[in-house]
Amino acid sequence: MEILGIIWNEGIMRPMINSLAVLYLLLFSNFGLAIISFTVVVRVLMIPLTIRQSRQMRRLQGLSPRMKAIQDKYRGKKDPESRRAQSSETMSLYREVGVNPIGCLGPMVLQIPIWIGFYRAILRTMPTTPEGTANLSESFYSWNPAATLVPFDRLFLGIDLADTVSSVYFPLNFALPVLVGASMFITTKMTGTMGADERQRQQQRIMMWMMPIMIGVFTYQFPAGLGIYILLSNIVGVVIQYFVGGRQPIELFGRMYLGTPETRANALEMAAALGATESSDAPSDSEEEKQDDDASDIHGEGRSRGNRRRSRSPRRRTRRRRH
Amino acid sequence: MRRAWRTATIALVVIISSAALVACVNDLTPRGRWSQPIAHENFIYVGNTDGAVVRLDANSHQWDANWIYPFEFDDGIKRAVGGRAMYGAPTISDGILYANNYHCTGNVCDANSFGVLVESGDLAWLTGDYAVKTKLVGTPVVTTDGFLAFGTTAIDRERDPPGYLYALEASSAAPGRFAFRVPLDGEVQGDAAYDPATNTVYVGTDAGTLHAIDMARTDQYTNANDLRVMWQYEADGAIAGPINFVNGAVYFGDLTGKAHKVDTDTQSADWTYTAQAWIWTHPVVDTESRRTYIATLGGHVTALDDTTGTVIWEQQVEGQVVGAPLLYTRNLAGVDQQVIAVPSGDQDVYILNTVDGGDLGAIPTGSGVKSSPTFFDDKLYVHNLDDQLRWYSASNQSMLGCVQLNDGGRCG
Repeated sequence: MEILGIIWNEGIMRPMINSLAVLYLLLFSNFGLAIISFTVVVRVLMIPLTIRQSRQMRRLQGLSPRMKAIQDKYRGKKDPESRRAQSSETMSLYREVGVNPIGCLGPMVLQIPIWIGFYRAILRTMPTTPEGTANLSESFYSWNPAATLVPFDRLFLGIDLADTVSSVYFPLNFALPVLVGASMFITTKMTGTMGADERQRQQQRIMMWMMPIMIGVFTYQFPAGLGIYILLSNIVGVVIQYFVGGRQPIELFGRMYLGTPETRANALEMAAALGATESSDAPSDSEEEKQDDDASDIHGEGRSRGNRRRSRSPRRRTRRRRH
Repeated sequence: MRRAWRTATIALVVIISSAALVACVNDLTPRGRWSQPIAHENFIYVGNTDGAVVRLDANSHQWDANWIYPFEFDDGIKRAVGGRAMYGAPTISDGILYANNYHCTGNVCDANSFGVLVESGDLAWLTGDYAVKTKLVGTPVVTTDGFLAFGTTAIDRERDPPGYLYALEASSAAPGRFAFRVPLDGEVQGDAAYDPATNTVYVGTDAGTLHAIDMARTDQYTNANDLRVMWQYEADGAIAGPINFVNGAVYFGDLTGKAHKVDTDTQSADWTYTAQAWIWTHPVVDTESRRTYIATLGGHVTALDDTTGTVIWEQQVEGQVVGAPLLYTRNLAGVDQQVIAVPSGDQDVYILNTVDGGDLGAIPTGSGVKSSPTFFDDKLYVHNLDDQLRWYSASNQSMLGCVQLNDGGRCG
């Protein structure tokens, strides 16, 4: 357990605390600006993970019709033999397309320590207890000139960043949780996949609503600095998703939720078509990229920025083929 | 194989994340256990992890089950009311023991200052007619004009000054009544120091300012208590720890690692000394040998010439030094020897020779120590982070006993 503590402290906490402190020093002793800039930097550094997750999600989404076909085939059959066969066919399908439903979560799971680390880094850099202040001395690298500025100024736009959101002045104390929930809903909607059968889809729909509501409610009791961080992280995430995944997610989102019933129905069909095209044969990245381009054409976009960027990486494609 | 690696990675991440989330709670909860034991008339008084003051008979080392405050009855037995933290030591004056404690939910805090009759343990007064919605960390001081003074952290950060020096009535007909408060430029987390000759309290803020505050009982400052600040001295960094007043000079450390000796007549520094790490605890002064001892959060201990501030010796101990080191004379095989006991966060109190800083051994304390030790009746009393009070032979450093401060049970 001690080794985990060392990994956590030396690999995540200390670099984050020192980075935040240096940004505080550089950005006019303003901790709010330090949090904002650090959020942007972290999200940008995580773009490779976001790309990977986005691809896996899209592949998984594209499998929906074929998954549904397997489920229909074994519907009502509850004997162990049929269950084994259904499981085996499902796994073969995943293998065929190169998708691992758990592996798909990998990038998301890998992001968790970064979010928690940042959460703790904010709390530790703005300690609220005497022992917190004393322990902060152990977190700074000896070369860090920002260490002499402790305690950091916690006020940003009149908000005490270490204070709970509920203590922030009206109406921001209510607006911040609502904005956090809304931005999380948009992020989840843009990156999420829909299951194969109706029951699964219904569960996912509930989760898609419940998670943002829960996070919004929790935010009310979070430190304001963390609330600002989550909000900004979601906004930056949407922007990155725009460039990484092409414009489709944003446009589909807009059409599905902001348009007329007809445009919403069209958008759902397009999403299904996009998924089906992508999943039909996605064993290699190069072919997947071609389909991405085709899918973009469905939406009249030709070559989105993300697709252009990928198509300019022949070396990477060659390396992948060898595998 | 690849899948196994991936599963292992995910499992590792989940375990680390869970541990980190649990640790978050620790970051936000004030726990105290920094309270220094105080010896008074054959009793040892100390603030425990529940924010209550308890006492131990220094002769029999029996826990006094009837002397505890704040308390509640549990099956007819007095037990500490938990959920509060006490960092400062109790102060005893004219038969009353004064102490502060507080608790916070998030960043919303509620503090109490109280006075207890030393003889009976009965409550003399409690701040109840007004609320001090802040953290009271430092040890209170009692002035000759009968005020109880202590520094506070921010009460309402968005509307009020970042800190105050509060003065309550300590010995009038209305003890505990609010007398006045002086706005300060930063939060106060350390002990104030008092000079009875000039009736001045010295208090340091995390804005890096030392304030000299006139504590006279006078109408001169009515509605203008900021005028009580007689002079200020600016340090390079935040003053987080306590202030020490000795022979007309104020000693303190700051979070840039600088120790200051400020002459109260000239209101300027006699000398400053830059250490290698943040300084939390106040410098300890030996007026006989004219030496000043400085300890840092990095475990550096330095002896300085008190007149010039030049280094005499340096020593390194393990762990943070938060509590002030203690100077005492021990008798070893018939020979008196002055030593300095350095409490460390590394489960030891280190005993150093004051002559050359030589390591004379370490007293294992079971867990870290962030309070100052107390010397009484040839014994060394140590309050550790497991909320135990341990006592040791000052001569040979052997442990003589241990009591758990939350329930009086024996330990060690």
